[in-house]
Amino acid sequence: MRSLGSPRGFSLIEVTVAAAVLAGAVLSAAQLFAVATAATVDARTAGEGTVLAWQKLEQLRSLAFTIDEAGQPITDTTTDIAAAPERTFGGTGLSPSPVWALTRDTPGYVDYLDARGVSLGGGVQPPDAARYRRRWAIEALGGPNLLVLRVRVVPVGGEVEAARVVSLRARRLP
Amino acid sequence: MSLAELLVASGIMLTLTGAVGSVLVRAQFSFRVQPEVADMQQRLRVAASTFGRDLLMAGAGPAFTAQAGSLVQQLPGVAPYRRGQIDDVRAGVFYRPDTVSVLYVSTTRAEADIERTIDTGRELLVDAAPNCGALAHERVCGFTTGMRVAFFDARGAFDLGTVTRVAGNQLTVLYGGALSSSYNGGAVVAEVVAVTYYLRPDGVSGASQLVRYDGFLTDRPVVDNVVGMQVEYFGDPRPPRVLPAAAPGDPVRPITSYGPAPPAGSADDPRDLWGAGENCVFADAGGPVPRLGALGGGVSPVPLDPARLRDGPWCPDAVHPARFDADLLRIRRVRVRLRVQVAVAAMRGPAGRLFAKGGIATSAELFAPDQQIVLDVTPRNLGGAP
Repeated sequence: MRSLGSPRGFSLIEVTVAAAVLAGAVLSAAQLFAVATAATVDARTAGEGTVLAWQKLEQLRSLAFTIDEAGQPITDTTTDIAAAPERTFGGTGLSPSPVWALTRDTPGYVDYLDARGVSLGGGVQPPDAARYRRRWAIEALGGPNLLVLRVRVVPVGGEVEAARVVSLRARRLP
Repeated sequence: MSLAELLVASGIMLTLTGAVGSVLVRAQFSFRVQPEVADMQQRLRVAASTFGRDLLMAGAGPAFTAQAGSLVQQLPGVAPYRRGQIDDVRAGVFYRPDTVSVLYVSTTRAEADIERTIDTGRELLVDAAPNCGALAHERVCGFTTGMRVAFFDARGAFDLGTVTRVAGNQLTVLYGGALSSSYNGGAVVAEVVAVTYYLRPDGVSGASQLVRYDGFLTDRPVVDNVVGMQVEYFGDPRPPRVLPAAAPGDPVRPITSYGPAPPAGSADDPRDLWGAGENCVFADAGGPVPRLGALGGGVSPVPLDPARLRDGPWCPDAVHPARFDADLLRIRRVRVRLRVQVAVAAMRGPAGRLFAKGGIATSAELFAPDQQIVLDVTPRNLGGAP
C-alpha cells in the first residue's frame, strides 16, 4: 500500500477494502444497538409475562374451593376463565389438568393475550393478534383439599417462557 | 487514479456513508425511545406493586378482639369511592369507575374492644378493654400518638381518627368532621390502613396522576402520566347466609357467610331503621331471610354491575351518614386496568388506538405507544381465598 503522501493516490481495490473494513466496523456497532434493543424487549416481555401469570393465578384463587355448611366440599369445575369475558359455565374451573397442560395448548387451560395484556379467549390456535399464550395447570396434592396451581406465559411464536409462577391453594372453611 | 476509478470510489463511499448515516439515525431514534419505554414499564410495575400490596390485604380484620376475623362481617374492605376524612359518601357519591378504596386492620397489637366513649365534639375519649395480657391489665398496648385508627361495630358503622393521646387504658382520638355513629360496648378500635387510589388531573402533563390518599390529609402521587384507569369488581353470587354454630372442637367460624349478623332472637336494634330481627342484609320472616339475591347459579365470583353497587340495601341503614351498599360486602376479586403514556409529547403520535392523548411526533420511528396493565387481585381476607 502506498503512503498517504504518494502522488499516485489509492487504487480502487484499496478504496474497496477500506470501505469494507469501515462497513464491518459500523455493522459491529449496529449489532450493539440491536443487542441493547433486544435486551429491552426481553425485559419488557419478562415483566409483562409475570403480571399476566399472576393475573391468571389470582383468577384461579378466586374460584370456589371451600366446604359448605353441611361439611360437603365445593369445588368450581365449570367456570370458564379461558373465555373473554369469563363465563360461569362451559369451562374447567379448578378441575385437574392433563399433565401436558403447561407444554401444549389445551382447551380450558390456555388463553391468548394481545400486546396490551387483554385476553382474546382460549382455543387450540392463537388468534392473529395474540402476542402471548398463557397456560395453566391444576394438580391435587396429597388429597382433595390442596391444589398446586401453575401458570406459564410464553410469547406466541416461541417456546422460551416469559414467566412461570406456582402457588398452593387449600380448601377453605365457610 | 483514473476518473472512472474516482467515480466508482466516490459511489462506494457515498453508498457506505448513506448506510452508516441510516444506521446511526435509527440508532439515535432507538436510544431516544427505549429509555422512555422502560420508564413506562417501570411506572406500571410501581403501580402494580403498590396496588397489589394494599388490595391483597383488603378486608383483614382484628385478631384479638371480640369481633375477630375478616371485616367482611361488618364492613366492605374494598369500596368504589373515596373514603376517609375527605369522603365521597358524605357528598352523596357512591361509585366512581376510576377510584378504589381499601381498608384493613394492621398486623399489629393495636386493637382493643371499646368499653365506653365520650364524644367531646372534636375528639373521642375511648375507654378500651386492656389488651396487654395478664402482666399489664390496666392499660392498652400497641397504640401510639399519631396512629390512624378506625372505630367500627357489628352493624357496619365506621369512622376514622388519629390517636392524640394514650394514657392507661384511655385513648384520645381526633376525628375530622362529625362522627357517623356512637361507639360503646361491642365496638372495636384498631389501627387500620384506609387508603384510596384515584386519578387526579395533572395540569402539567395534561394527563392524570395515580394518587394514593391516606384517608386523612395526604394525597401522595404514585405514578405520573396515567391516561386511563378502570376498576371492575367480581362478587360472591350467593346470598348471605347465617352459618350454623360450630360444633365443639370445630375451628371458630364467622356467624354469617358475609355481612352483619341479624339481631339475636328477633330483637330490635334501636340505632337503625330496620325492624325487629332485621338488618341491612337480613329480613325477618320467622328467621333470617337474605335481602340480597343470587347472581346466577354459580358459586364463584361473577362481575358486579356498577349499578348494583349503589342501589342499596344500605348498611347500617339508608340514613346513616357513612352508609354503604350491602353488595359491596360481596366483593371477592378486583380487576384494575391502568394505562400510561410516554411523558414526552414528541414521542406520541395522533390520538387513536396507540395513543389516548395525541402528541407531536411526526415520525413513526419515534412512537412510544401507551402501555397498559391488567391487574387481578383476590384479597385473601374477603372470604374467597384461603
